[in-house]
Amino acid sequence: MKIREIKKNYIAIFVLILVSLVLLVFVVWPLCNDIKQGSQEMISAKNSIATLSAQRKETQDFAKKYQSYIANLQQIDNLFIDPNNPVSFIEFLENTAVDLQFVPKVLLQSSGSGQSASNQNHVIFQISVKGSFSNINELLKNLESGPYFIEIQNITVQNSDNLANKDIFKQYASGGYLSRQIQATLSMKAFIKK
Amino acid sequence: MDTLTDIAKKILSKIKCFFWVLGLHAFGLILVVIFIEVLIGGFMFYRYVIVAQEHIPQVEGTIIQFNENAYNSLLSRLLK
Repeated sequence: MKIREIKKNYIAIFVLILVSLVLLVFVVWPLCNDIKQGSQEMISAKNSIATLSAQRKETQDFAKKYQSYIANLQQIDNLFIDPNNPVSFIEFLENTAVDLQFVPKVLLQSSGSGQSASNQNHVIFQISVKGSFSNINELLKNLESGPYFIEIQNITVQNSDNLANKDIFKQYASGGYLSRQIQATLSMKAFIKK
Repeated sequence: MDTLTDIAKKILSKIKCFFWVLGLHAFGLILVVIFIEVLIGGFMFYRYVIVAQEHIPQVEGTIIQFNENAYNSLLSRLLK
């Protein structure tokens, strides 16, 4: 009889522990996780609201000033070249060079491929000119002050009149180097419309 | 010298004694457990409700905004 009661007690303890474990694993633990997740969602929602209202304020400020910007923005837009049709820019390069009595040759350099090319904000042009050395500065000035947004990256100048070294020195001494015939190659970044 | 079985029996009898004392003071034990539960509940309420409500919202990520500096520099380039 006594042994039977002891067994009953052990069974009761076992069942109690089992029920407690089941409650802990299937009720208390998920409930705690839900509370934690809900709290994080509330914080994240508050942050989203703050971000959206900041963005809204920024947009409203811009909308107020937009009328004063619009005319200049259109002009600024024209500073960038159309990557699909850069003919007018190439014409500008050629005309600028021809005006200074250069013989120009314009090359559009490949700007990579795939995603890197689509993310680029510029294309690289190369213009080779043949003409008088004194006009090079003028050409650079005219290109930079032109109606396009460009950045000259590299200039290579070499003589094209095949003078012997001693004749070159003579020219330098007499200041005649300015009229020398040279061949210059300019690489430039031309910023494009997106 | 006690054998391993004797040591196990001693430990078991102490555990039984511990639970026996708990059983004798069941009412006090329930009060203590309730107090601990209130503490845990209070902590969770503070940690996940009050702190979350008092949280000062912060702007996440980047906001798209008009770049006034770029606009002005382009404008000055245009007016040259």
